[in-house]
This record gives sequence, C-alpha cells and structure tokens, in this order.
Amino acid sequence: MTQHSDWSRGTPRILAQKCPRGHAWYLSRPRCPRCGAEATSFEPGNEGTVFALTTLHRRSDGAHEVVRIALVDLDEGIRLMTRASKAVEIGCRVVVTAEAIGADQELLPNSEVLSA
Amino acid sequence: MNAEMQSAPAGALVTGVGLTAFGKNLGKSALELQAMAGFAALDDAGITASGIDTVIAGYATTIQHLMPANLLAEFMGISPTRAFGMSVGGATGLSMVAEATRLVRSGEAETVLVVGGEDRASGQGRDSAIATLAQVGHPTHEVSLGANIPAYYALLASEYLHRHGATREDFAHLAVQMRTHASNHPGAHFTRPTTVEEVLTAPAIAEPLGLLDCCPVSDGGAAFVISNGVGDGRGVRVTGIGGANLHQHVSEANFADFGARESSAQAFAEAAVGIESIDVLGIYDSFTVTLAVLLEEIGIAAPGTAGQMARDGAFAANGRYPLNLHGGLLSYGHSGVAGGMAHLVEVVTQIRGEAGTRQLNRRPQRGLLHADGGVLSAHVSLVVEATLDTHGPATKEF
Repeated sequence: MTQHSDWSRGTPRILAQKCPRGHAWYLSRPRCPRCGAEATSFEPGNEGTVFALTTLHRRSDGAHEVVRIALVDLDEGIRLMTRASKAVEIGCRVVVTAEAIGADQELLPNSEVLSA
Repeated sequence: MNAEMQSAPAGALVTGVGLTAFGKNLGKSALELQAMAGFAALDDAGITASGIDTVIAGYATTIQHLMPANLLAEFMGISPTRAFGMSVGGATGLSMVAEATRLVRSGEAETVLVVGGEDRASGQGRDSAIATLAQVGHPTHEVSLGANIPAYYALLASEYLHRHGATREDFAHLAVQMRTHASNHPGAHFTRPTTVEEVLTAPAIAEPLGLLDCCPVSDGGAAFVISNGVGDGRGVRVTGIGGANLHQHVSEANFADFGARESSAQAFAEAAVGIESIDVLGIYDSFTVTLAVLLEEIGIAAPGTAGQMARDGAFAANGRYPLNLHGGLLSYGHSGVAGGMAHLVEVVTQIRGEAGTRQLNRRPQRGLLHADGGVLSAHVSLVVEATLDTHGPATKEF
C-alpha cells in the first residue's frame, strides 16, 4: 500500500484512493473494496455537493465549541466527512480544502460555499 | 432427547426472559446487572444454573473484559460447555439470540443463556460514554472532526428530511409515542408523557436532532433462555432470522439501502410470512431517525411516512402495528446491549399474555424484531411466534 501523507498526518491536502478498474473511494485500505485490486492514493478535485449536514452542539471530546459537520460528494464520486462553514447548506456546491480551523486551529477538511 | 424430537426438532424457543428496571444509579455494577437479569431469566424458565450448556454475553463498555461470558458464568455459578462474547454494537442482543437459536436448532446446544447488562449511565461520565460510543466512527477521518454517535445519526436525519421534504415534527411523533408507551411501564427510565412541542423545543444536540430525539444513557440488564424444549405454551418460537452488514462507517453507507430491507426480508422468508402477518413490533430506536429509517426499509411505513403513521396512531397499543410497548430505547432506556434486548423481552411478554396493564387486548401471535449496530451498520431481524394459538382475549396470568 502506498503511504502518502494527507491532512490526518499533517500534510494540508486531501487524498483518496482508486484502483486500476476505475473504482474510487475515501477511507484508506490496502485493496479496492469493490474488486480487490491494488489501491493507489491520489489527490481528488476539491469541488462537490453537500449530501448531509449537522450542527453539533455536544462533542465526543467534551469540547464546547459548536461545529458543523458535513458529508460531501466530490464530483469524482468520492464521499467524505468535512467540517463546514456557517453558510454551507445541504445540497449546496462547496469547495473542500484541508486547513487549520476552529478554536484549536486543527488541520481538518473543511467545506466552504463555492462562489459562482 | 426422545426419538420424536430428533426426527422433528422443536426448533428454538425463548423459554425465559429477564429484564431489570432501566435508569441511572441503580446501585449495581455491570456484572451484577447481568446476573440479576440472568437469574430472572432462569427463574422465568423454571431452570437453574446447572441446566445451562452455553452462555453468550454481550460486551459492556464499563467492563471491557476479554472474556465477558466466562466472567458472567463464574459469577452466576454456571459451568457451560461453551461460553463466548459478542460485539456487534446495538445489534449484539438480537445477534446473540440469533446465534443461540442456530446452536439449538443444530442440536449443538440444548439450553443457552443470553445476557447483556451494563452500568452505562453511572459507571462512567456522560462525556466518557459518548466518546466511547463515537469509536464506531473512523478514528482519523470521522472522530477527529469532533463527530460522535448523535452527529452520525444527525447526518442521516438531515438527509432524510431533505429527501422527503419532512420536518422535525415527523420525528417528534415517534418520540412522543415511545414515551406514551413507557408511561405504562414502571421499569422505564422516563415515564412522564411528553408532547410534540416539548420534543421540538428540547435543547439541540446535533441538528436536526434535539435531546428528546436521542435515547438516554441508562443502567440496566436483560437476558433470555433459548432452549429446545417444547415448553408449556409460554415458550415463544424463533421462526425467522435475517442479517445484513453493508458498511461500518457513515461515510461509506448507502443511504438508499442501509441493510434493514435485506435483513428483514430474510427473516420473513424463513418464517414464511410477510409484514401483514405481524401483530407486534420491536424495532431499534436509538434516535427518532433510526426508528423512521428502519420502519421504512422494513416496509412497515412508506418512504418518508413513519412519523405520520406515528401521529395517526399506527404504533399505539390499539394501532395496526403496536411498537416498542415498553417504551423503546428512547424512553425505557439504553443500557447498551441490554437496551436492544428489552424490545424482545416485551414482545415475548405480550405474546405470552403476561404484560399486565400494558397487555394488548388481542394477544399477539407473531412479532418482528429488528436491531442495528453502529450507524445503521449491522442489522439483525427476528420473527418470533407463539407456540400455542393465542388468538383471542388475553388471559391475565401475571
């Protein structure tokens, strides 16, 4: 398995995976979950559409900061979880980038409304 | 075992049930709650610890023991041939019953004790409980964003409302119905009736879900004896089993097909019945949206209409599909594995005609149970049936 570094390992970018047969997905694995072929990492295009969205008032780590969390469908057919800015709504077009956000300036994927 | 039973096995029956009250600060450890429920199930079945050849125990987040069934067996004075734990999130309880049924049907086991119990509310802080449960999410690509179980289900809820043009009020009717049921059960965590208005104005947890869209964290225990005995008419036969496991993480879930359709279809097929033959329901209800999605995937409600059916009384005691008559996870409470077992305790009790003031006027013949673990990740369904023709007026033999 190719070990590329993404935002979760300190590199400010989002990585997905694909196989030679054209399947693409987000959560890292050694093989393609659909056909079992060898997986390689790549950097997908960063535009997509918000599929689901929540404003979370109570965090798993006990933090009190209210955060917005979205599932975003990138245009290449990859769904990923991101933070979302205040203007983001379900169904809206967004651009997803890995950036330092929130009270703790953590490096996380974040969705902003895509300006026309 | 006599020759007749060998040639025509009786199958597997639920011959004993045990359920503690659910709530906070019951003053018992997880192991004590498990044993309370376990002994209650043995007493109910009219057997002792020596009659058990298999013990299956669910995980408890407050114990996190490597060998939960062995731990419990020693504590209860049972020396089983086989003992093992199971860990399938909220699907654990019914999955244990499914595996116990298979062991009994195959003849490998004769009498199985199935137990879940946990001091989930008082054995740890609330934030600790929420953080532990969040771990069904992906550690780096979901949990690190601050997401937790309410957030995962809120994502489902947001998409549900958007797709169906539904409102939070639709979900609220489900919460109100569960509380109405719980108000008739002295063991429930919450018994004070609530209203749609109260549900809608409760503090936001993970929008669109508010506090009353979410089950509480409770202490409690539940247990069953599953055996091959023909019973005395109180035994309730497991006639259909189904399951599906299509994803683990919400990021990878197919929102058009979480797995409940396939799981319940398998159970119906094995039982050779359809939903129209079901008299009583026990459906997992960790959140209002959980219940809505499961009712619709199983085919009890048309897409987007579960809340309206609740509003119209379909899930009331006098409705077409009496649902979670103990109050469900939303109001009887959620003590982990035992929370998902309480639904079956209630359905068995109703089929036996032993539900006291909650007893349905027309004693049900057949029930459908469904539970999920994770984020609608693991699915298990059961069809259970009376062993005697129990149609007719309920006899109050409690």
